[in-house]
Amino acid sequence: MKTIYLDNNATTPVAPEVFEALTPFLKDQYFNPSSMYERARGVSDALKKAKRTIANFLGVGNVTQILPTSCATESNNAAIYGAARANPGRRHIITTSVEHPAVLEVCKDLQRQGYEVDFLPVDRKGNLDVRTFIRALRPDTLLVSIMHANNETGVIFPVDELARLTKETDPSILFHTDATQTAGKLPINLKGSFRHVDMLSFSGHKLHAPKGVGALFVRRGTPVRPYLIGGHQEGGRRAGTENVAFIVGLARACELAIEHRDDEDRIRAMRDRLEKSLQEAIPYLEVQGRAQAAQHDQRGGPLHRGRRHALPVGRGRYLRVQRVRVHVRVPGAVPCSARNGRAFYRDARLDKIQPQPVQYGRGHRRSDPRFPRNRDQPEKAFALLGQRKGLSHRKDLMDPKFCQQCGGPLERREIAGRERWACASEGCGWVLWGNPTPVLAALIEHDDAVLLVRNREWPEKMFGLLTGFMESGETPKEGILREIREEVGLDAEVVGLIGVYSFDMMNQVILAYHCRAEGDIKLGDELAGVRHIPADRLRPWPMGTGKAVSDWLAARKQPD
Amino acid sequence: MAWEYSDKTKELFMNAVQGKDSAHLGEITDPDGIGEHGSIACGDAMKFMFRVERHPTDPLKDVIVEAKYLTFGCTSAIASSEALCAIIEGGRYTPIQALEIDNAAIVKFLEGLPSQKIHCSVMGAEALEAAVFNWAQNRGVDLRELGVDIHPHEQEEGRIVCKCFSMTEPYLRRKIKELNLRTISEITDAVKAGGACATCHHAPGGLQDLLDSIWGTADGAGKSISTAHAADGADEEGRLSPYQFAKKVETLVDSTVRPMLQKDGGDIEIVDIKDLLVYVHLTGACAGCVGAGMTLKMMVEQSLKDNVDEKIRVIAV
Repeated sequence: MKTIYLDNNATTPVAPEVFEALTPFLKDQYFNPSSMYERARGVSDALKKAKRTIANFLGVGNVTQILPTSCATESNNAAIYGAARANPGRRHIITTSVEHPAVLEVCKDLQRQGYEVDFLPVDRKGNLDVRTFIRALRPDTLLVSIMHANNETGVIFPVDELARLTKETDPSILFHTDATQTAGKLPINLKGSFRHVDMLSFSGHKLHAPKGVGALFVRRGTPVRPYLIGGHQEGGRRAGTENVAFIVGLARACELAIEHRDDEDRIRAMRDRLEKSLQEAIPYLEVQGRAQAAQHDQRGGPLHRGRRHALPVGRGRYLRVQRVRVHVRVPGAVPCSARNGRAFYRDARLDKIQPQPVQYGRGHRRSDPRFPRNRDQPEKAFALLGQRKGLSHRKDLMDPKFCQQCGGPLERREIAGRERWACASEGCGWVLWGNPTPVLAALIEHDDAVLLVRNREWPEKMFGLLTGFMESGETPKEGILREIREEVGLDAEVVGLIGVYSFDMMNQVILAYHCRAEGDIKLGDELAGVRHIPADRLRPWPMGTGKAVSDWLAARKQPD
Repeated sequence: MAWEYSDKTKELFMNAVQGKDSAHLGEITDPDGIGEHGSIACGDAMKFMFRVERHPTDPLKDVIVEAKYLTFGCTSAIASSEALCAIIEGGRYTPIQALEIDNAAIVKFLEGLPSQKIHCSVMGAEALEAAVFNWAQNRGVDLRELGVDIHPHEQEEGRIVCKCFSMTEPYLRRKIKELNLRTISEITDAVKAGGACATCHHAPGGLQDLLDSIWGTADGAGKSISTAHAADGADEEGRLSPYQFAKKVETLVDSTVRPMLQKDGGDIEIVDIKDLLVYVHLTGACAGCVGAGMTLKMMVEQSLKDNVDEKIRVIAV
């Protein structure tokens, strides 16, 4: 089976040129670059040359500003802890809620040590609000650490602008950026647009160098205390015998990245093609990170290659997110990983989104075809994806971690003929029955057409019946009339009940009513828009409230 | 990094390079005391020597009658050397008395030195000290017995902190205390340490650690966002509350700045006001206009400075 590796934002294979450049230093050229004798000199010269290449790659003149590290995680740790320890007078840090854990967890650790940390939120599209950023700057701000591009959404943050604003506000605030996702993909010039950036991290394995090597740029004079001490290497700023082979490999990879900068257009075209076919296969697919990309397009720069695809379902709730990362360079490997994306985005508190990444594509490590192949049956596609990763809303609900009554551990027990989650603590007796929630839906005839609505959280082209939850003390009929009033500002009457449908995926039961209403529409908070579709042009969708529509249409065709 | 030398500095320098009679550039054959400081590799070096009128019985009553120097360095290094010689010759000091001449006296004689050049005056004082030590050896004077604290070997002993300028911990500790140096840049200005590769600034046992161990850990750092209000402290009465200040800025922008911008199809939005920093966003025709930067500085910032507070800074968002 032919496989295509699409996960180059997670890691890349080592380029043959890189492999070739680095192997001599694993074989004959094994000398310690710090040794004084002639043959070691050759190694130390190669090391110096490599550092100069890395410096040029970042637009840096002075080589002493480049510290080779073991990975971007080390670079980030060194930058953040180093800045904190060198500036004890300042105790406030600004970062984003969507940083890579190598920044996020370090900031949280400092928080535990008494630092104040602002985790700036991002909006639904993953963008950062510059105003919020400005408001966060304080007189005692020590450090701003904001990634260049997000590792989940591919959204590019305006690091040049943010760094400028930081430095114009107070030159003593240090600015760090994690450019792991962008080094080699977007041009970085630390003397040009990034001239206000004090520290920049990146790793080698994202640009075809091996894993286990990275770099940290520290602008000359930046107050940072060394993280690894106990050696004279790098002037004592990063002790430890240099990983010569991999640093040479990283340098070669940097050269290749410069040579291949023009590939962006080709890669972008490939990405767009894949995206299009995915959208055709899954009609409700929403692409995240597009707004920012478009903005970047206008500036004439290349795009980040990663995209996030989300499938929003239900009332204000994202059922799951699929991540598709496209950067087709080397054919012949494996698909995406979701790893900790789920927990990560929970923390991010992205509005109401609780995306749950799902892997898909075909993998050579697993033999099952994980991509839903039947394009004509999106419903099946949903179900398939949900089953595989166990990430549907229902599964989420039915898979709790702790007792909701006493907080104790849970166990599986057979209760009332079925195996269920129940509290393991003595005397508690809580059982997760998981009863479905009733949902009211209205097919409203208004102005000789059927009124469809779009929830704010839904993707742009997705419309459906008006829905809402019942409140206590009201009958279903009262409930649906209230919802219609609240959402579209109409006084309606109930013509009749269309039917009752179970929506297993959301663990809901839908009570669908046929209603009629007149008057002018006034949109409520939850809706982004309405649409009038004449009944004869109404095509029911295969899930959720769609079944009610299809039953109503069927009943309508039959003469009374 | 522009700096201005005082007239006195320029005059002394010119006298020296033109070989005027009043200058002290040169050497004394058989000096009674000779000392050096600095190194040519580090950019400036000074050899200082003096001749004394020997007292027949008591060397402590020797009087310095002539002083000369050879200095490799910049205008202020030469002028500092001249100043040192002039002060010494003018005062008929004994060598022990001459030790009283410190870098502050040299700076005063020069009618001021730019902060980046303070190290030149320090070099003069150090070379003098070395010369006096040399004199004491020649004349069999035990400085220790006299309670004079001279540290001729501290540069050779002790851990090197600044590798570029070969400066040791004992020397730097003494200088930090003597000259009351409080920050790394003050150290660099005074003795040059940390002025080249900068790696010793925050290294373990580096300059910051020396400062912290001498003065205690940093306090009061982090007040850099324009603290002009606090500094103004004196006129409490005339001070606006942050709200009043913001209101005043907004009113001014509404009444003068905005109408002007709107005439050209542009507009302005105040994004945030943080103390004396005003963050604005130019919109409409102004967004992306080449002249936006100038507009911001010349028009917006200037009118806010003129009408609200002269310390206001406008930042484009």
